[in-house]
Amino acid sequence: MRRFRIALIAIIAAAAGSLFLPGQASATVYPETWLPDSGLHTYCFTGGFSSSIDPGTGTYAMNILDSTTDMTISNLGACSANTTDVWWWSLDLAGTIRGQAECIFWSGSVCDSADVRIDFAQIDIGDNDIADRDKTSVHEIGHTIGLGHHSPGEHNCAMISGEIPSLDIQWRRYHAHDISHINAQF
Amino acid sequence: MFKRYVIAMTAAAAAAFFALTGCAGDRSATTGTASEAQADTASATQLASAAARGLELDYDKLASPAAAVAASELIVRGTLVGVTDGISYSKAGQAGRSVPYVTLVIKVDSVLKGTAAAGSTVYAQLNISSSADAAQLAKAAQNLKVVAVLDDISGWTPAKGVTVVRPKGVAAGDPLYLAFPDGLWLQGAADKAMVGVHAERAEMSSAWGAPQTLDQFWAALGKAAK
Repeated sequence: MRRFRIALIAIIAAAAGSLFLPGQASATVYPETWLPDSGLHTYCFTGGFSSSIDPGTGTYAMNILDSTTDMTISNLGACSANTTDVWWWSLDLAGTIRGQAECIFWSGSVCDSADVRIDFAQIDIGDNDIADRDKTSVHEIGHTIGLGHHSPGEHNCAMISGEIPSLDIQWRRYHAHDISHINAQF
Repeated sequence: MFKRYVIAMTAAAAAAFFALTGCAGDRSATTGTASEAQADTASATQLASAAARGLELDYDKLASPAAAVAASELIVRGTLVGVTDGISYSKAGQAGRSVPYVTLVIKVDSVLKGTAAAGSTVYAQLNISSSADAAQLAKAAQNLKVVAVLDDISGWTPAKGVTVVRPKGVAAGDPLYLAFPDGLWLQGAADKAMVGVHAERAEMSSAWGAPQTLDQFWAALGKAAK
């Protein structure tokens, strides 16, 4: 009987720990969206994005991916090939949409090529425009590598929805938990 | 005593399992199978997952019911009676890449704001995945109840020089309505909770009071509209 009591206590402790310890409480499944076809994330800029008010935000997001994860990037210049992993667009997206990521071409369950669409006018409503653009760009690239939306308090990172709460750099970076998922995959 | 321990241990193990499997989206709480949906136990999860497969949106939220009422042109509650082709553009997307829409056909039961009457039909545009189409979504849309907070996007165009072509049912001169990502909620008979296509209940701000059902969402809007 004592053995059962010890086992019970151990199980309850494990359950409680997984619920309340920060690392486990913020655990997320991966991928939450879809996986890219490899750890090399190639990208290109459409003409509209290159001539937009801030194409540098696309470069910023790709560099963040390259410098903070084990994934690598390659800039293929102007968009032409449907095998390029990410096509960057600047569009006026209808309604309140700030940015979108969509897998356009699939290879089974992985994504061959995705669009990232940025609505600068919508993003620039409110404060901290430059940082907010960078957050949105990092956020959309996050979707193309498997990350979903994370509520503030769950993961304080670029994967929150909407405007950044502050200029704190954490809103333009992936969470360590997400990076561990990405690096384990690639 | 032994039996009580076994029950307690099973419950604890189950709790541990669910905690350890992480934070799956709240849509999983209302999962229904295809056969259930076909058998008069409609579920909105099928429509939502088909419409949003491979499509993720970052949007400015409707911060509160009052903000939703203020930002919208039309707020209706009704039944989804069809899904048809949506707006298209005068210029095709580059290399087959575009931003597709469908039209949600809503038979109106109640109106909270705007010009529509009970019994009338409202057409709302919804941004969908390129891998989905209207016919596929129409099958999944049967018998779903809906609350739609709608924005008038007449005159909107995605890029310079591109003209938006209206779908059938939306005459020139009529408002062209778009559902706010977090202003469109669906619920079928098999769903314990309302389901968003592009939004999740957990992402709603606390000012909404954590509505779980269409009734609660509608009540929050109604209170704000008074």
